[in-house]
Amino acid sequence: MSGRRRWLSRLLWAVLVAPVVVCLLAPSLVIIPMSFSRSPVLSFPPSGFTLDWYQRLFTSSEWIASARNSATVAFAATVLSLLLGVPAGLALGLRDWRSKRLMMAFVITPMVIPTVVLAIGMYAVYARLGLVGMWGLAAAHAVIAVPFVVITTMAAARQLDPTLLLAARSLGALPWQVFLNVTLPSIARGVLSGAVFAFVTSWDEVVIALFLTDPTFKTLPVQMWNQLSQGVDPTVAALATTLLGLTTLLMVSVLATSRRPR
Amino acid sequence: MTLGSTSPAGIHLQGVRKSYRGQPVLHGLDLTVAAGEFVSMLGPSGSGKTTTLKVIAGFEQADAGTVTLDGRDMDGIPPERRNIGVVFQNYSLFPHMSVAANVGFPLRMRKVGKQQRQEQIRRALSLVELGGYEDRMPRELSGGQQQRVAIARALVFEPQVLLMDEPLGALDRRLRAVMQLEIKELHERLGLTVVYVTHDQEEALAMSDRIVVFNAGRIEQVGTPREIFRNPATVFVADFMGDSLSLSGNVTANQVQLAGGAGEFALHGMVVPEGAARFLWRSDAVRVAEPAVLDQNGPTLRLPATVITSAYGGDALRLRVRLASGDVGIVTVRDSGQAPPAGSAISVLLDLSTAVALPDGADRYEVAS
Ligand SMILES: Nc1ncnc2c1ncn2[C@@H]1O[C@H](COP(=O)(O)OP(=O)(O)OP(=O)(O)O)[C@@H](O)[C@H]1O
Ligand SMILES: [Mg+2]
Repeated sequence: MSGRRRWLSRLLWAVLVAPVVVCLLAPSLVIIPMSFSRSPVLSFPPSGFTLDWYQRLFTSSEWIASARNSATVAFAATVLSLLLGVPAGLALGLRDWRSKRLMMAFVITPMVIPTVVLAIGMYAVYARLGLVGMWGLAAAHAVIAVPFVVITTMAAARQLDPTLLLAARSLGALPWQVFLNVTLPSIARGVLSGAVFAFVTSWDEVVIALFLTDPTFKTLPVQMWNQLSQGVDPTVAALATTLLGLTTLLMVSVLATSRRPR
Repeated sequence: MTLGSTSPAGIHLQGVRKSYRGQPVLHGLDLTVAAGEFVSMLGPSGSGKTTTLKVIAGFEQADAGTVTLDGRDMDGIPPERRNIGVVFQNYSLFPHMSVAANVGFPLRMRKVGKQQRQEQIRRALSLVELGGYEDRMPRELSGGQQQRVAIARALVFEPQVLLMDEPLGALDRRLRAVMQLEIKELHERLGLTVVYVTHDQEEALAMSDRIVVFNAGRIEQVGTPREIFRNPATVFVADFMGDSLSLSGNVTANQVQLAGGAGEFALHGMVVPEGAARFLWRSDAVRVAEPAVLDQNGPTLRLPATVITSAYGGDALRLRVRLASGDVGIVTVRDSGQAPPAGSAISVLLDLSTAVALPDGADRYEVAS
C-alpha cells in the first residue's frame, strides 16, 4: 500500500472509531475532574481545584483497611483460581478426551450465570458452612475468576506443540521436569494474563461482596457502595480516579508484554 | 571422550502389535536392526512408521510383543531412561531456549556440570557446523539450521540409537540432498544405530544399509536398497519403489498366458511357480515404438498401448499408458521435442530378460538371493 493510501485509511479508521471510544470512555472520565472539585458534594461541572479529597482518602483508616481487605481477597482468589484453573486449562488444551465439551461448558458456567443468582446461592450455602469474611469471599471470587484462567491457559496450551513434550522426555527429562522446563514456560504468558483477569475480577466485584461481607470486613467496592448510598462525598471520586489510573497501568503493561513476538 | 563413543545398540522387535481405539495400526512386527546399522523405514502415509518409532522410543506402549535394545527388554522403561536420541520432522526445538540451552538440555537433565556441559555443547554444535550460533533463538534460524540444532541436541548425550522421523520432510529439495549426505556422514563418523523414517524412496535408497518397506501396519519387505529396488518381493514394493509397468498372466510349465488374451510367451530360463503371476518392468526398461503387429515369440514382447497422459521431466518424458489388457503403467522415453498426444496408439517393447516376476495378489515369493 502506498504511504498516502495508508494515511487515508488511518484517518478513516480514526474518524469511525473516535466517537465509539468517546461514548464509552467519557462517562468514566468525567469522574477525574470531579475528584479535584472544591464542591463538597459530587457535582459536574467541577468548580475550583483541590487535593483535599485525595488527602482524605489516603489518611482515612477506613478506606485503607478496605483497600487492604480487597487486595487480600483478590490475591487469595487469584491463587485459588490458578490452582484450579491451570490444571483444568492444561487438560482441556493438551489432551483429547470424551466429555471434554461437557467439562468446558461446566467450567464456564460462572461466566453466564447472573452474578446476583450466584451471590444469593453462595450466601445461602456459605453462611451455613460458616464461610464468611475473607475466605468465603475469596472462594466465591475464585469461582467467578476460574473461567478466565481456564480459558487463557487453554488457549496457550493449544499453541504448545505436543511433540515438544515427547522430545523433552526422550532427552532425559522426567515428567515433572518436562512440566517445569517446557510446559510451564510455554504457557506462562497465558497463565499470567489469566491471573491478571482473575485479580481484577475479584478486585472490583461488588454484588457477591455485598452478600458475603459484614461491617467488620468490607472490601473497597462495598465501602464505595456504602458511601454512595449514604451521601455523595467526592472522596469516592478521588478513589475512582486512583483505581482508574492503576487499572490502566496494569492493562497497558499486560498488553505491552503480550505484544512481544513469540 | 568424543561424541558417539558409547557402543551402538542393536534393536529387536518381536510380534509388536499396536491399536488405537480398537483400530489395529501395527499387526505384529518382527524386525532386527544390527548395532551401527542405518535402517530406513519406508512406506505410504498411515502405514505405521511413526507408530513403530514411538514404540521404540517408549512414547507408546505396544499392546503385545517385545522391544529389546542392546539385548535388554524395554518393557516398562520410560523414554527418559532409554537413552535414545529422537529427531522429529518439525524440529521440536524448545522455542523459549537459546540454541545452547536446547543442546545443553539433555546434559542438564543428566546433571552434567556447567563447564563440561559447555564443552560438550560446543563440540556438538561444531559437529553440525553451527559453531557460533550458541546465543541464537530457534526462531532466528532457518529450517535447515533448526534441524541441525535438533540433531546436535539428539546426539550430545551420546545415545546408542538415533531415531529420525522424516527429519528432512520440511526442507526444500536441494537442502534435503545436502542434509542427506551430512546425516550419512555423521552416521559413518559416529557409528551409531540409526532408524530413519521417510516416505521418499530416493532418500531411502541413497542413505540406508537396509530398507524396511511398510504397508498398512505390516512389513512388506526388508532388504538392501539394491535388493528392494531390483528384486521387490511384492507388487506393492515394486510399485512403491518407482514407476513401472506390469502385466498379469498365468504360468503353466514354461509358458505364460497373458490376461485378457494379450498374448503369450515362453519363460526363457525364468523360474516362476505355476499359477497367477505378475510381470513387472521398471519404466526405464521399457522401449516404445510405432504400432506394429504383435510378435509373440522372440525374447521381446511387443504390445499395443494407448497414451493416457504425458509429463515432461527434463531429459525424459513420462507416459502413462493403457495396454489392451486394461493394465495401466508408466514408461519413460527420451524427450524428442514433442510429446505424443493423449489417445495416440504406440507399441511398448518389453524385454523378458529384464522382467521381475511377482506373485499376483497379496502373497509373496521367497526372495532368492
Ligand atoms: N494418537 C493416535 N490416535 C489414533 N490413531 C492414530 C494415532 N496415531 C496414529 N494413528 C493412526 O495410526 C496409523 C499409523 O499412523 P503413523 O503415524 O504411524 O503413520 P506413518 O506411517 O508415520 O504415516 P506418515 O507417513 O503420514 O507420517 C494411521 O492410520 C493413524 O491415523
Ligand atoms: Mg509419520
